[in-house]
Amino acid sequence: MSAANQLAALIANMFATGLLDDQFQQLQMLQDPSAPNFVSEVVTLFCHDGERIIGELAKLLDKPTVDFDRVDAFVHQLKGSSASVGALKVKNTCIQFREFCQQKSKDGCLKTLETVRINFYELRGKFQTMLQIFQVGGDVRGGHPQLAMGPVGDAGASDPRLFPQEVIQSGGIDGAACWDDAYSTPLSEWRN
Amino acid sequence: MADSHATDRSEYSSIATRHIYTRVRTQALKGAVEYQERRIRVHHHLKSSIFMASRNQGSAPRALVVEDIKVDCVILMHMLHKLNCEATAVENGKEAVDLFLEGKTFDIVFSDKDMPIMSGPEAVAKIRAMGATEVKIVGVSADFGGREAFMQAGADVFVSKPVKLETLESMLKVVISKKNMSG
Repeated sequence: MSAANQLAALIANMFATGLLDDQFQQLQMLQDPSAPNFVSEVVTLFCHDGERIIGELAKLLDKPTVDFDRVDAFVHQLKGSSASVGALKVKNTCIQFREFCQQKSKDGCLKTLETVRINFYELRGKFQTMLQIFQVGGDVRGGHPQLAMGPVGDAGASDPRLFPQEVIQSGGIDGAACWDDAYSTPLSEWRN
Repeated sequence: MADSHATDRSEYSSIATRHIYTRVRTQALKGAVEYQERRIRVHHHLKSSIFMASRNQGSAPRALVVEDIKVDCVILMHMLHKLNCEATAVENGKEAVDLFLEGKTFDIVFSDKDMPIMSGPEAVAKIRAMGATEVKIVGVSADFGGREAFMQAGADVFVSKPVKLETLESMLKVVISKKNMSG
């Protein structure tokens, strides 16, 4: 199987098993010839930061008196970076983790930390495989391994969130709200 | 006879499976190629529209990113560079306020909410209190409660994380057009 096919299959599997969500596709869209290593740099940074945060959480929860505010702050960081790279499973576990922090439940936090650890290392392993294939694909394909890093089949092609041009052309930037959630402020309500 | 049928069915099943796999794989590759072509068209469209808008204005929009989470900061900075912005990043609200105290000016500020030393809303309130009323301030947070905190502090708009590229482009177009109108 060629590197491009391997990469496509791996990424498709990560979407299918709920490890990744469409935010990862947003990252892929940001990669271009001027930043050919963007996705791998972000993924590497995420893995590095994630490992550091999990280590800090383990230390904090190992203390006889747990500082839940500090624990929550670290979980918030991991949740934020997970959401930004599309790490769906890790993000969702962090949401549960924060609830236990607010309840000041040490047992709940410890159990969720273990789940976070499992989900994070599962994702990290797949990311590492992805980067290895990417490097091989990059050498073989002369710098265009991105061909393999798209959604599989036509499902992704029809998703309007993947194609900003369609969103823009549908009237999203002339004052009408173009955010896809209820909490962002529409352009028409900007001050001044 | 039964054995021969079983063998034939098994072989047929194997051939059919290979055929289906090949068809699925071909469709997958076709989808990936179409996706890549669309990505390239989107990339050129975004670059040209912001480039034309900022060329009319005479200079690239100056953006300040206030974000402590490195991954989020790298992604936002990359998006802004992609949209031809001059972008500066700091790690907390105090560093942002210090830049304004030094006399630095920006067209737009993207601030996270929860940061060490000084939070986003606190920094926004201080920046507005300094008299920096022209700069557009965008509060950014994954917490839904962040909207109220930022708007009360004086932000112009709130967006939830993760921020989308088309969202940024829309905001920058508003900033650029206001700059063009004010000369």
